[in-house]
Amino acid sequence: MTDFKNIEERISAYLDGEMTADQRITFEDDLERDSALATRLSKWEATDLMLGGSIPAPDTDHLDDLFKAAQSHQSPWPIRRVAAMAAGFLLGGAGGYGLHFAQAPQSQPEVIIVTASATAAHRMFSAEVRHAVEVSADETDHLQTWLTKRMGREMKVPVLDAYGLKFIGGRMLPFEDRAAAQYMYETSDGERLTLFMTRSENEAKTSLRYLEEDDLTTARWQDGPWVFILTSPLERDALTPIAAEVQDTLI
Amino acid sequence: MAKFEYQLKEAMPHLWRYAFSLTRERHSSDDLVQDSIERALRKRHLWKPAQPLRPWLMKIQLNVFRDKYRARVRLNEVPFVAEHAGSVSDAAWQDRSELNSVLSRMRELPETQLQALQLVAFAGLSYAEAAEVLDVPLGTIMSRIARARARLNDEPTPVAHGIRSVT
Repeated sequence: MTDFKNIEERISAYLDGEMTADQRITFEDDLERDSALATRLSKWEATDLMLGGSIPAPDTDHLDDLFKAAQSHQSPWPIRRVAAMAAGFLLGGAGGYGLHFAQAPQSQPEVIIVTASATAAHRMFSAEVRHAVEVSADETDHLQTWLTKRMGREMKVPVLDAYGLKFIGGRMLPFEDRAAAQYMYETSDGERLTLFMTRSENEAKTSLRYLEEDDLTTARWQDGPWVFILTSPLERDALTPIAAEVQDTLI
Repeated sequence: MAKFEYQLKEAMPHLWRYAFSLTRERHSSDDLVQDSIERALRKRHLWKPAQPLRPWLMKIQLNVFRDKYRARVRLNEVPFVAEHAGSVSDAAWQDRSELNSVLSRMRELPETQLQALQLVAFAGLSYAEAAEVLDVPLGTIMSRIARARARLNDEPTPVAHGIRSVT
């Protein structure tokens, strides 16, 4: 093993898992004694994570397509499944891509966890026929009052009939140690759209951000501590005016 | 035969992320990955089964990039950040400005440091493998990575104590 020429090389090698066991033990002893070093390590680690998160991860299907295309020497553009490429990103860190030293799940940016929760909740409950919601639309007043109390903010149900979306009802969900809410809508074709809301520990104000993965489009934004995530099989263009309407109602 | 394809498929997520770090754009990443696999398949007889495939692939991709893509990327001046503005930049959501400054520092890294960083951080190679791809000693990779990281974290360039020359 090459010797380290300075502390920066040691921090780097530690982050990259390039130390021998002895080197690692010595370094970890140093970390315990030297809080400035520990702080510096966390900062470098956070930067690595941020950088890793800035690069999208394509999903397996898309990569398979690329592989097959290369294999058969077809045209350079046989398949463009750009939408599918973001899918793997939500699992970032777990799949062996990304910065390979950045695997601590608790270091995942909160937004990824929120989005993953919203998507999981969408998939789980939108597939339900009879138990899609906990409180149905005919008890909308009750639902609003209940969720307003539990969430600690006004929880008026946005009216989306103009977009062909009928309100079905809603439910409360756990998100980490706090409450989240899910409102569900349905088109005449039976396609479902959910709105997921929860409180973030970090305040921010963002514009709309989209993520297209597999068959679902996600639109999300944050207003102060409140995070809103719309999930549906609708196209992004169709989702935009709906998101605007929801923003107006729940401002 | 099967081993080659198996390893190739397994390396694909890293291959794509590495391509993205080079081209900074999705469609070009797809193109680059596809070209690289085609070249790898054509040259598979040159690969020795005893050697790991991943560094071999990354080297091919780096060469394809140099041959065919670099001029295009420079020409377009594709900003690294724009790709994420509306779609995938989850990490950036909370601390966008911090990410922007890290990315802009990355753009300003000297080529040699950037290459080493991309191979380790995005292509998933070990220092030894990156050293092989770039054909430099392992110690050089280590110092380039450390210096790149110091810069990304807005710290002064580390000084090498000792006689090893760092380039």
